[in-house]
Amino acid sequence: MALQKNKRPRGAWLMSAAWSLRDVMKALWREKLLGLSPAVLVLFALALLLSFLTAISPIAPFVYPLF
Amino acid sequence: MADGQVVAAAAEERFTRQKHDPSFPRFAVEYCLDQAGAKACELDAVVFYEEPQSRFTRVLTTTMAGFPQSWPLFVGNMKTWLSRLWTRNELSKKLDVHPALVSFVSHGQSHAAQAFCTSPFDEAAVLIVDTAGEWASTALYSASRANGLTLQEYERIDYPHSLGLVQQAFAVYLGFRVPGWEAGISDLAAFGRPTYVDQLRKLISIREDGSYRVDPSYFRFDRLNQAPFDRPFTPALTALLGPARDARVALQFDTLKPASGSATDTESQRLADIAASFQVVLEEAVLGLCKRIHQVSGSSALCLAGAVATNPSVVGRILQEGPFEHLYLPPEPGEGGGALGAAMHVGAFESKTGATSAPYSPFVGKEYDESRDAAAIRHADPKYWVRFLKHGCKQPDGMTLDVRTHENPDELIACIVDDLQAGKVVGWFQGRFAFSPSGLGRRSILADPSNQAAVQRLRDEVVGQPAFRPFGLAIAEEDAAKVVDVKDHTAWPLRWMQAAVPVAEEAAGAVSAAVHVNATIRPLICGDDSATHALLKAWGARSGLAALVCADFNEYNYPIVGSPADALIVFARTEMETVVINNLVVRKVQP
Repeated sequence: MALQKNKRPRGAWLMSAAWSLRDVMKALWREKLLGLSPAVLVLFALALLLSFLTAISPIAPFVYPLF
Repeated sequence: MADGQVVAAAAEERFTRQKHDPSFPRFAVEYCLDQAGAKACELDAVVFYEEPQSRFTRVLTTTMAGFPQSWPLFVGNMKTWLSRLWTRNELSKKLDVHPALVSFVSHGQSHAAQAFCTSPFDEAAVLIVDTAGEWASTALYSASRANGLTLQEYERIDYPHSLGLVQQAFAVYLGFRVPGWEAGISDLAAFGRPTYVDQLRKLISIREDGSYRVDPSYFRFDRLNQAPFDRPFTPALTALLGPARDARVALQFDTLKPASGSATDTESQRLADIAASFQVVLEEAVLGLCKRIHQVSGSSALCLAGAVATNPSVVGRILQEGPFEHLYLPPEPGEGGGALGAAMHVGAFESKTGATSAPYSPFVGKEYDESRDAAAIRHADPKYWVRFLKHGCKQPDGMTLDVRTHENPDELIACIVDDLQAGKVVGWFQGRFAFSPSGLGRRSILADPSNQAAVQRLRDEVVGQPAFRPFGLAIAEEDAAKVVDVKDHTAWPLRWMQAAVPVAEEAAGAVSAAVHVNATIRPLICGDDSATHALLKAWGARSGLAALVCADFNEYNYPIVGSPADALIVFARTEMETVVINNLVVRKVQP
């Protein structure tokens, strides 16, 4: 049972994304760079949008050249 | 790691045969779990050797500082870094573990933990001179096992002031690949004169307190990942020192011909002079840091790690002139060691168990059973190998193989000593491979150090190493004092081929093929109960000096061999005459 608890649960990507965002904010706070947090949030939103667009097959060929 | 002991550690390149393989270490993970007899879900922690989120803040701020000129760089960096921030999810997904099990240890602390936890000291100063982790490129610590394990940071120097990055940029300038071939600077420096020191002091200024500063106007460190296509230095550097080397043009030096101490072409000589000057400035800077940490910590022992610790001349200089009585470098002081250090940090420092891995052995790689390969090689016909021969190698028609298994170790060693004395080049593969950038006598190619022809064949027809680079010298501990001209001939860096030190005058003739043009050697002193030590002692009884030329068991630009099959491929492709795999001996028999 304990081993089962150590396995990756469903929806773990959302948990990981939240933790990553928290870790970045903590790092910005630690380095006294909290002023950059809006830029980071915009970048995250852009990354999410692009990954969503690449998941839609008719649009993906137009998105990949952006990379 | 289990109960404070290292159970297994391996680099992915040993399994995939791709040098510095940057992909997810699937095979290495599989091996480590197999060795521990565990499944991924039974792990207490999965640790990554840097904090990607902190490093992201550094990348973000440094690229934004150069806006708008840095716009293309910003786009490239963000593409890379938005996926690296996803490391927790990637590790969780690939190992099928809960994301909460994944943790991060800062780059500097990972190096420091490995450097100290694998050392034999109870307390020590720890100096990390690296490229750049999150922000720190150089860090000074004090570590102790007295009240559980503690690691205290005294001072640090942040990016872009980084000796490791400057070393990499100079490696690219001198035509070497990075990461991995920076030691070429130290080998090339032996042929030069330090005539560019004044110019280089403009790049690296050493302060009175032992710290240093790098002038960033000469470098573009952000381009190191794209080297050699993008050069990590600005036109200001080429204006100061002249054009960078074209890596396609060979350097005109030969370490086996000391008379060629000066190159016939002025361009090679100019590059060697720059390398020699860079070594002088780099060594001064590192010695300054050593003095500083000695002063603040008051310790008599130093643990050193990071990218600059892979430079054998720097280590040799600290060993001879540094203020510390004892010097220790972990067997893998570079990036790979950081992964082990991160595990040690969580296992020993964070849990406060006081457990340590000392005494640490670097032979924690995979062990193989050669019986299947022995059966296969008995049926092999070398005529079918011809098409796979390494470029420039020859194989006579009608060559056959002599395959034997020696159950008696003395018999095995006696027959290998015979081969070495006959001037043959011998591949030597024994037991588990080392977690180290070198073969350390377990995955090595050996030859008689007094036989220039054999060593030249080893260099040109087996390894394919550039002529300006010397080989290491494996020495039995009993004879170390006869060969190495340093006070403490059993110092730790000499045990793992990490330092360039002067050769004793009386032994220089007997080991001439391993002596560099500046009369230094790179010793690997064996004092354990391994087969390599037994072979060295038997060789010493026959030749009068227990020392053998010791090259890593690989072809140049390829990783060191991992499995018996990899070793047999090198044996088949090159002009190696004998290969020993545990107790299996395969010889090429000329018609």
